[in-house]
Amino acid sequence: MAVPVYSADIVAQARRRRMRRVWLVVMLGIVVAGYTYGALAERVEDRNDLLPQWLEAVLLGTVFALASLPSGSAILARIFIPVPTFLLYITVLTGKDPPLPYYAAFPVALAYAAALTVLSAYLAEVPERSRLGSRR
Amino acid sequence: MSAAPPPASPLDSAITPPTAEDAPAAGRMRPWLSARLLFREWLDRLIQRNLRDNEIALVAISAVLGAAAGIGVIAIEGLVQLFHQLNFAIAAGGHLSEGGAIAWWRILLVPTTGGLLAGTAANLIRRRRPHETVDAIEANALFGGRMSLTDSVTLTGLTMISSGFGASVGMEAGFTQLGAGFSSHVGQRLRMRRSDLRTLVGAGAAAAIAAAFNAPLAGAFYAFELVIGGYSAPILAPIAIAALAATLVVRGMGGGVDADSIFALDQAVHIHSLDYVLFAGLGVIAAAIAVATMTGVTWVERLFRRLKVPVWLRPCIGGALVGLIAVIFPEVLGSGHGAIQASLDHKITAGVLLGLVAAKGLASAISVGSGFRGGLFSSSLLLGSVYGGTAVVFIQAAVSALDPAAPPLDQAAYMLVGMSSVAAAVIGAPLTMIFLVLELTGSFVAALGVMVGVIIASVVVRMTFGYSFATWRFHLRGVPIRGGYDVGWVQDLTVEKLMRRDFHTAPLGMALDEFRAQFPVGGTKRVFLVDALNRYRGMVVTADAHDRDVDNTSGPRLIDDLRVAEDQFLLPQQNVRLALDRFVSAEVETLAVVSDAVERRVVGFLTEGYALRRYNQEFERVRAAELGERTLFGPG
Repeated sequence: MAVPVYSADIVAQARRRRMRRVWLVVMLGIVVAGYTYGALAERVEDRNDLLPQWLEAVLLGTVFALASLPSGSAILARIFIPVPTFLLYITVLTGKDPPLPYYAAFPVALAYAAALTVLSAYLAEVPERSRLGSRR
Repeated sequence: MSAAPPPASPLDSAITPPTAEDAPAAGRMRPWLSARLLFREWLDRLIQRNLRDNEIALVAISAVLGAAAGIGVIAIEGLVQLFHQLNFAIAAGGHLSEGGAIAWWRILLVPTTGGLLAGTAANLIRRRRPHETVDAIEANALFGGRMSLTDSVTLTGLTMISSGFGASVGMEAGFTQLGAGFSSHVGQRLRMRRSDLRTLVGAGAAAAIAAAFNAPLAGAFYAFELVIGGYSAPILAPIAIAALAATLVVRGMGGGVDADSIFALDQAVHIHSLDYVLFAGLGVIAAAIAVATMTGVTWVERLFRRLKVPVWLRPCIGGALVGLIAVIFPEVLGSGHGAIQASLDHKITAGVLLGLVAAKGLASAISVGSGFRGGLFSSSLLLGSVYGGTAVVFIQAAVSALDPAAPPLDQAAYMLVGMSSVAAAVIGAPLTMIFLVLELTGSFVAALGVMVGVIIASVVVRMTFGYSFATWRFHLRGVPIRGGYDVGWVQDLTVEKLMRRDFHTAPLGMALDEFRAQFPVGGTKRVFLVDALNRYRGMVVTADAHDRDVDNTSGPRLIDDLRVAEDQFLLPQQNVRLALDRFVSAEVETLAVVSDAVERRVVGFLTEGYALRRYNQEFERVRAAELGERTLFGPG
């Protein structure tokens, strides 16, 4: 089967589009990290975390960014989103002032974990926006 | 019917109510209808003689409208506060976004319910009034200041629901819509000139912002920068008076000079030389945050469209998402005034400030993108404030590491710079933000620092993104405006208004000699060729047909060979700018005007010279009206 030959413009355009997507997920990773750090800082009690707060936040942001990359292997990173997110956010919700009761904190933390997982899947797998006049 | 006695003077005739004899059909009408007609006629005379083209009257009307806008803002704020107290059980006088102890179930439930309410209401309204609501900027740019009062009231109501139920939006969009809409309505009833109507719209918006922030200068410059699209001496008085009247009303009714300010700074601001350099860097990142927030709104809208969520349900989902954010960061609820004060008072820790930058940006983008009504003015102020508060922590750490003896940075100064820079970039009004900080802090030192950040942020956004939030929305809707300056006159100056209708046509395939006989030299300058179905097929310049060089060429001697611009024509509804572009691309001096692109029936023609002359005249007239000049084309 013949390999299609694209012009330099088309190749450059595709590269730019890909870079934009990578840039977007990196930015969103930073947002997730910042958000998580702020959420962890809302806790009024020491929760005996395994890692420093900032490292937990950075790790979650990094995993989210990797899981959102437009690449087939992003699914491997996505495995690590739901459980850590759930655990982190349930400590936030039950440890903030005023705390949420456990029966409320559980579904809310679950919603956070689901939201981050679904969003990363969407970002990784959503097709490029179809251009005007294209048949896609 | 006897004639009415002649008036003693023109002024008398203007203010003397006409008698029943003035109305020819009055005797045959019911008495109340007759009286109404007579009153309207008297009002018309009064307006024409005393209000139109009278600067003093315009200033007086602006003052009254400004005071009315001030009362309106107070009433709306009171209602929204009542909503907050009922929905979130906050204390009277407290702010929703202060981050107090609001029950978690209210945080989750109320924005969702509000979204359902706002979505359903907007859907019902859209069925009855399917057009887009024209805001103050669009009205001044395209419609000569004409706005619908009904649409304005409706939009303000939806904004109240949105803000009252905790959506992360500001009320300023609602305030300006109502202030400008009401002013426009009054101006239309008084049959104001186009330029005066635009000024009144600006005055209404200025008054609304002045009342909302208790800052008359910021209000006035908001109108100059955004709604009018420029500053000129004649519009200064009406807009400044309106802003001043609104502020005085708020201060009079709200309890003094500090009434209703979004924040109060009870400490002096200290800025060192190094800080100015850092403010510039702060401005660059502020621009990035502003662009991310604006595009975030579009991204959320696109996501909802892709997921095919019904329009009426989107605010409900958006409200639920805002609730999920607010259960951790309650500061994102509402416009954020309380959170701004809390951040300035150091009641929010540095870690939470960092989280709030992300949370507020997300909540605002979700709220506006999902369909809650409201603006990003207040949201961008809070976003910038917490961004400045976060940045100063990192900068302080870096500075201390480099020079342990360095004096501590002033956190309030950085918060003010961050706040103004992000807001200036989002709103597209740098001077407004500088004056807002100056008026609210009373500190020239702070204003100078803010100026650096604001200028850098504005320039970066202008160079990289090119839009403010308002103009970005226009761009997405396909509305070709970049500000409030008047471009509507170009849309109004259509080919149909400019074209000449005394054209001549000849059938396609006509013999050259016959053409010469029918259209001699000195008669018509150009003739339009039409086919058997009467469709336009080209144009022949009569002089070319009579050129003797044509006789020396061989081949068929038909008029068709001399035709030009076969596929070039204008349509009646096209505006003068499009027409002038078409002349350039077609490289001809005259173009036929056809009924439509398919039928191509010739209805007239337009010359480039005449179009240019009319364009220049109209441009000069608009310019003169804006500058208040009484020239050939100016008012008066």
